[in-house]
Amino acid sequence: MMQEEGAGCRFLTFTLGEVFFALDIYSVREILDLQDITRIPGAQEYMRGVVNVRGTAVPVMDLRMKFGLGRVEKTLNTRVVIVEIKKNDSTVVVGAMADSVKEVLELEPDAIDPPPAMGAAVRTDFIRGIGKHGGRFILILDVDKVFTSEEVQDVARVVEEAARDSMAGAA
Amino acid sequence: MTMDQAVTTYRDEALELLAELERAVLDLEADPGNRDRMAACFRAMHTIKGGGAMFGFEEISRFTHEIETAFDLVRNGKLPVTSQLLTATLMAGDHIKALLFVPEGPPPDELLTRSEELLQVFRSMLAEAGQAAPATAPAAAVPPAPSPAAASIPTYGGADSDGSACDLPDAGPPAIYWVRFAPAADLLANGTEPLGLFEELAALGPYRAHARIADIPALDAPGYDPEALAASYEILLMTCRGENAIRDVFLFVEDTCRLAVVPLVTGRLRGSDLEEFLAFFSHMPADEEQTVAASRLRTLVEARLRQVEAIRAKGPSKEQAPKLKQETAPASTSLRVDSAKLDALVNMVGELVILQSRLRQAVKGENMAAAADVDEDLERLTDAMRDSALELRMLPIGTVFSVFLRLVRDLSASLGKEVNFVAEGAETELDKTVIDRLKDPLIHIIRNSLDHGIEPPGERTQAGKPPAGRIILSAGHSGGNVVIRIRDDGRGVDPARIRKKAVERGLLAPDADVSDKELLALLFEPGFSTAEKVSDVSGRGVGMDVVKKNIEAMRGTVDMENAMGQGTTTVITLPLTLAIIDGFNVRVGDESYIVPLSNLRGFQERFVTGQPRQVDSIERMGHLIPLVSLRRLFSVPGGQPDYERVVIVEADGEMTGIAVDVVVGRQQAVIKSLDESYRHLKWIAGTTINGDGSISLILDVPRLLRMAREQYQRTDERESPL
Repeated sequence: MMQEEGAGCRFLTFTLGEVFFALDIYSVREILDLQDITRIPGAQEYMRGVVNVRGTAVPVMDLRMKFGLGRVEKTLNTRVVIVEIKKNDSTVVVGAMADSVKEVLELEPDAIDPPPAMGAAVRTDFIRGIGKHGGRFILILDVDKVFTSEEVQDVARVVEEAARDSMAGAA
Repeated sequence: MTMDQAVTTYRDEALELLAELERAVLDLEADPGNRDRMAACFRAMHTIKGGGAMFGFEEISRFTHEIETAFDLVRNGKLPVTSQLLTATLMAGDHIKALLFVPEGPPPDELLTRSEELLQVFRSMLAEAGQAAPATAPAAAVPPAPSPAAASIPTYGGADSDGSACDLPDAGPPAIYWVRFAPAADLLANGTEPLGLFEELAALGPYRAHARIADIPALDAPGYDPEALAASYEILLMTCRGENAIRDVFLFVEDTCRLAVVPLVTGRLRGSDLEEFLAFFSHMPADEEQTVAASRLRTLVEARLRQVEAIRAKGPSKEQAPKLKQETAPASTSLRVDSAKLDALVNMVGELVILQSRLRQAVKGENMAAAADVDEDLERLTDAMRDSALELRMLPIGTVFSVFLRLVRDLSASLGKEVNFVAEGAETELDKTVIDRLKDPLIHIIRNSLDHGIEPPGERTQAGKPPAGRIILSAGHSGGNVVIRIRDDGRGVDPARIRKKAVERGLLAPDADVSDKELLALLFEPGFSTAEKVSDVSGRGVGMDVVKKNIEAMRGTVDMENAMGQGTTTVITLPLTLAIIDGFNVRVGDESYIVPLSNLRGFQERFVTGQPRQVDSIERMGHLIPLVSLRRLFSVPGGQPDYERVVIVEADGEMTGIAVDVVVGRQQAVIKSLDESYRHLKWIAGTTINGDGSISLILDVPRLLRMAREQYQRTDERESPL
C-alpha cells in the first residue's frame, strides 16, 4: 500500500478538531493562511468555495464537513493545505481547510496499521492506514479518494473503531 | 531542438502540407489545367518525402516517392490530370496522415498493405499513360520540351528511383542481381572514382549495397596506405537492363578488380525491400562458396517476391478500402503566428520595461504626478498588450474550410448528388480553440444538409431548381460575435414532419399549439431525427443535440431558419474569444458576479417591502417580464435591502430581470475556468480575479434562468395541490 516498500514515508500532519490526520508529503504543494473564500452557490456544503492562489481560483474543501466532524471555523491556526492530485494526464489542485497544521513526520511502514474493517456501512477506503506516533493515532488519508469522491465520509466511527482495536491489542 | 521536437514539428508541417495538397487537388478538380496547383501538389509531396526520410518516417518517404514521381510527370504535362488521379491522391493524403500518427517503429501490416494498394493504383496510371520517366535517369535529365513549370523548378532526378529504368525502350523483364565487387587497392591511383561506379549502377535501377570492411587495416597498422582500397561490396540490384548493362558499368575496371554478377530471380522489388537482404551478407561467411550462397539468397528473395505479389494481387479489389481513422488525428497543439504580430508584442514588452524604470524613479523621488503619468501609460499599454496577446491565438477560419470542401466532394459522390460548395469569409479570425472545437459541429451540419437537405438531381429539376445543389458556408463578424451561416438550397425541413415525429417520441402533446420556430428548436433535442431511415451519413439522431451542446460550451448559440422547398440555414453565433468576456460586475451582499454584456439589455430598479419572492415580475416597456431575485436563488447570507437594482437580460429570446443589490460597473473579465469539482454547476461560465484579488463568478445567463425556471416549476407543482 505504501509507495516504497521498506522505506519510511513522510507525511504532513494536521488536525481536524481533536483528531490527527496525515497526507503524503508528495501530494502537498503549499500551505496557506486562510484568506477570503468566495462562496459558490449551489455546490455541496463541504465545498466552501474558491480562493485566489496567485491568480488561479482554487476550490477549497472543508475536511471537517467532509468527514462529518462539524465545520472548520476561522481561527489564528486555520490553514489551507494546497494538494495536487494527478488525474489522468492533468493535475487537479484542491485546497483542504484544516484547524491547524502540525509537522512533517516520517513513519516507518511497521508503524502503520491497515484501516479497521468496518463492514459495508462505513467506508474506510479513503484511509490508507492508521499510524501511531507519540501515543496518538494518525489517520493517513488516501489523497486521490478523499478529494475526488463526492460523498461525506464518516470519520468519527473509524476513529472510535481504531481506538478500540488498539485497546484490544494492548490488553 | 531535440529529436522529439523535430518530429513533432515535422508532423505539424506535414499536416499543413497535406491540407495544402488537398486544397490543390480540389482546385485541380475544378480547373484541371492549373499549372500552379500541379506544382503545388508536387512540392507538397516532395517536402513530405524529404522530411519523412530525415525524421524516421521511412514508410512515408518510400510511399510518397512514387506519388511525387507521378506529379512530376503531371506538371511536365506528361500525365493527364484525371479524376482517378485526384481521387487516388486524396486517398494517398489520408494514408500519409495515418502513417504520421503511427507510434515509433515500423508501421503495422495493414498500413503497409494499404501503401501497396495505393501505389498499385499510381503505377497502373503511370503504365496507362505509357510514360517513360526520363527525369529519373540522370543521362536523360533534360525533358524534350521544357514547359514553363519545368523550367522554373529543377527537374527531380534521384539515385533511388524505383524501377523507372524499366520504362526505357530497351528494357527487358525486371530481375534481381547479386553483384560482388572488390575494387583493386590502387583504384584511386588509376584515376577511377568508385562512387561514380555506384552512381552509374543507380541509373540501372534501385540497389542496396553491403560493404565488407573486415579487410580494412587499422590506422596504426604497419605500412598503412591511406589511398589503398581494402573494402569489398555485396550489391543487390533490381534492373530490367540485363547482365551486360551491369558489366558495362564496370567495363574499365573489370581487369583490375574482382567482379561477379550473379542473376538471382526475375521479378520486381523496391529498394527498401532489397534492404532487408543486406543482413544476409553480414552473416554470410566471407569464404562461403558463391554458388551455395547464391542459392540461399535466391530462396530468400523468392519468398519476399511472392509476398509482394500477394499484396499486389489484393490491391485493385480493395480499392474502396475501409475508411482510415483520419478524424481521430489529434488537433495540433502548436500554432503558427504572423511574425508582425510577434514583433508588435515584443515592442510592447520593451515599452513595459521602460515604464517600469520610470515608475521606479517616480517612487524614489516620491513624485506623485510622475507616478500618475506612468499609471496612465501603463493602462494604455496593458490594453494594447492584452489585445495583441489575444490576437496571437486568432486564426483565420479558412484553415478548416478545406476539410469541408473535401467532405462535400466525397459525400456528394457517395450519395449520388451534385453539390457546389461555396465558402465565404475565410479570412474571418477566430480563437484557435474555438476553431478546433467548431470543426466537428460544422461537419455535422454540412452532412445534414447534404444528406437530408439537397435533393437528388432529378427531384431538383422537377422542382424547377438547377440540378446541382448549393451549400454556402459563410463567416463574418457581427458586433462582438462571429456569425457562421450554413445555407443550403435543398428541400428544407417540413414542420409537419417534425411535429409528427415529436408526437411519436412523446416530446410534444398531439394537440400542442407550437410555432414553427419552436418546432425547429425540437431538432436540437437529444434523440430526434426526421430521417426515415438511418444512413451511413446521418439520421442516427445523435447529432444536432451534440452540435448544440458543443456550441453552447463555447458560449455560443445555434439557430435554424427554414423555408419549405427552398432550404435551411443554420446560424451559429460565437464570441470572439474564450479568454476574455465583457460584462457588468454586480454585487449581492458580499458576493460579486459578472453578467456578460452579450446578455445584457438594460437596468431598472425596484423597491421591496418585506421578503421578496424568488421569482416575481416587473414591468418593462409596457410588458410584464419575470424577475428573479439572485439573493433568494443563491441563498446569499445577509439582510434584504429595500431598494434593488434590476439587470435586464435576454436569453433564449426572452427578457428576464435579475434583482441584485448594486451594479458596480463595467468590467473586462479574464475568464478562469472553474475547477472540475464544480463542473456540475452549469450556470457558472467561469471565475475571474478582480483588481483587489477577490474572485467574481461569471454567470451563464441562459443556463441560470433555465435553472431558476425549473426550480420555480417544481415549487409550483409542490404548492398547487394545496
